[in-house]
Amino acid sequence: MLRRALAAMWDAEKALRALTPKVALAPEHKALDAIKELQQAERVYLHKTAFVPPPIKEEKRMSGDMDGTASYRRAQMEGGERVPEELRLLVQALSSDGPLPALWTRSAHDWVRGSIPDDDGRLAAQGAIQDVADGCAPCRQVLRAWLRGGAGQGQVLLQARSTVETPFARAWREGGAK
Amino acid sequence: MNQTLMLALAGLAGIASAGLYAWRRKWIDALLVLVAAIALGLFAAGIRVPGDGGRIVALDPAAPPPALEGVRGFSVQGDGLRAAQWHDLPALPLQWQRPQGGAMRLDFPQQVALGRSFTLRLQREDKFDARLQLLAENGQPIAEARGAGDLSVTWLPPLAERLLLRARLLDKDGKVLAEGPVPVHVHAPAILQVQGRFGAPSFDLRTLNDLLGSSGALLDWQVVLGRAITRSELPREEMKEPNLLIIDAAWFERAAASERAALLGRVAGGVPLLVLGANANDPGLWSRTIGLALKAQPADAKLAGPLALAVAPLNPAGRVTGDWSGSENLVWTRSWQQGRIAWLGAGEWHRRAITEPQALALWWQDVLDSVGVERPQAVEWLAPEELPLPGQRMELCARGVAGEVGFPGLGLSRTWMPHTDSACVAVWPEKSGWLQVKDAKAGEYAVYVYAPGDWPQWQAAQRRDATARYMARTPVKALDGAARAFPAWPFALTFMLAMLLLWWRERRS
Repeated sequence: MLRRALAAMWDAEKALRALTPKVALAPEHKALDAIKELQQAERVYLHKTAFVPPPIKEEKRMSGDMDGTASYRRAQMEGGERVPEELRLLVQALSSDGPLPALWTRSAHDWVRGSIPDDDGRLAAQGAIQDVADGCAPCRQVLRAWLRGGAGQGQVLLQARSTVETPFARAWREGGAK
Repeated sequence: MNQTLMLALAGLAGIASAGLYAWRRKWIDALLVLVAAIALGLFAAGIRVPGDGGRIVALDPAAPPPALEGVRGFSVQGDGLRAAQWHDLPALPLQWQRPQGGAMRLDFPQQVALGRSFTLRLQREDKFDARLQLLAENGQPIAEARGAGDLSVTWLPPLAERLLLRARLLDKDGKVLAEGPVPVHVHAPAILQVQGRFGAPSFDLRTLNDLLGSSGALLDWQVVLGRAITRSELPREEMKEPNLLIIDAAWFERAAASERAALLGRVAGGVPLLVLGANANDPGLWSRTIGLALKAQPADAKLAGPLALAVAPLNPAGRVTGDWSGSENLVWTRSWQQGRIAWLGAGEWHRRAITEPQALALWWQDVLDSVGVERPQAVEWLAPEELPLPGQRMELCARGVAGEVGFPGLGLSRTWMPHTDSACVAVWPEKSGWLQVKDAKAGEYAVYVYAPGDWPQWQAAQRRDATARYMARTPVKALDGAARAFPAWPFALTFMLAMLLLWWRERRS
């Protein structure tokens, strides 16, 4: 990954020396993506060396000296939100004809500026913000789509499957268990 | 009067009268009486002859069917009628030729939980190269697939909201072949409440902890690090009712018998248990306690599929062993009274956590679905069986509802009619768009009513399917056996003429 980042930076450098910053932009983005990916990775795996450790003997495991060690407990960390709360409220408000939250244009502009890299898309989103501010009701759906698009693809959330326990389903299950 | 009795009386009267006339040697009068009696009998018998009885009515899908008096069958042209229209007609033979080509079917969930993939599948009869796009409300494509035959696109919604997406099918030159709305409700996910007890720390556990934590699950996590050293993680809010227990094989093998019994008791009460089998060491214990026969697996065995996870050293011998049945992702499950126990025979998934985080999360979601981790909810709305259209009857069904349901947009209130496993109401939407529904128990909901011109090929496919189903109820062969009533008036006329002639002959003599 580092090698990829470095190669992309050299490409950018080449273009910058030729005084063509536009051409340099694409490899710069590539290098930035690689660096960000590396930065966000908590652990980096390297190819293992020739040494293969012997399997741990269960009778020896946990038999060491434990001086100075102690159990510990911690509270669960809060899960990070990918989409800010104020934006979620704004998207929710845009799905109805009701009033929008206070200072919504500022948060919408901030979000659009920070999350839509494409110039055309950003301009269209800013146009939709203006349209909604001018009272265009059908434009609310369009703005909602731009704001949602800024969040990109969602994240897979591990979850339970919701089920409804009807009398029929209960009787079916109990009948099957017999 | 009974028909048989009437026939017997007419026959008796005719024979007696004819006998009397014959005794007086009035042969012609006797014959006339016999003719009159036979005609009266045939009139009363209501003779039916086999063959073409009644008439065939040509149905017009746009107009309600005419009066059905004397109708013995239907005929219909083109794609046929909608299922709701067929339900309003009696089961009669149908003459219909199914059209070929030009139809397509779309399949997508109308409701999806945030964090699960939304998949739109398009099944079509034409097999040329095409491109399927899923578009947001601003016309921007959010997912795309191309190829010949059936196509499908997948998208992960980032927010919980009600959406009206669009989908379009383009040919290889970019010409739009079909386009229409795709309504979806993205609702909040059913949060997991997990209790984990582990006998040994590992990178896999850390990865699983991260996956669950970033999914918003409540975690009560305990990992034994050493003889008397435990790392505990407490849930960020009170865990009222755990809906999943996870242990690793090492914890179970080292636990006291009472601890194991307590755990299995909880499972018997209905909480699913997932056992991470990668560090199992004692096959005999598993066989004795939960009836799981483990067998040593070949070293370096990998799970088939894109993730290629390592197979645990000890796993059940086959897909089905005793009470245990396995699935493709190396999960074996069995029921344990009210609950379920699952054995996960894969490991080393932490190696995919950075390179393929989404694929790994989807694999874990499949595992959890195989385990049967469920969260009970009060109400479930069911998708309409066919596209709701303005002016056409629509059946809205839900599970777990009873009493009254309101449709504020129509100014209507209806009572849920109980079916086998659900309850339904029928309404006639007036216009296309979201139709609001208010239920005392389920709260507010909205069902999307399509415009008459939306997805014509899909509508055609639904009509064809409904018409084929109706046609299968009463085969056309039944027409051959349909009897028709023989006209009664010739018998009445014969009887009258015979009696008049007899009367005239009596008067003349």
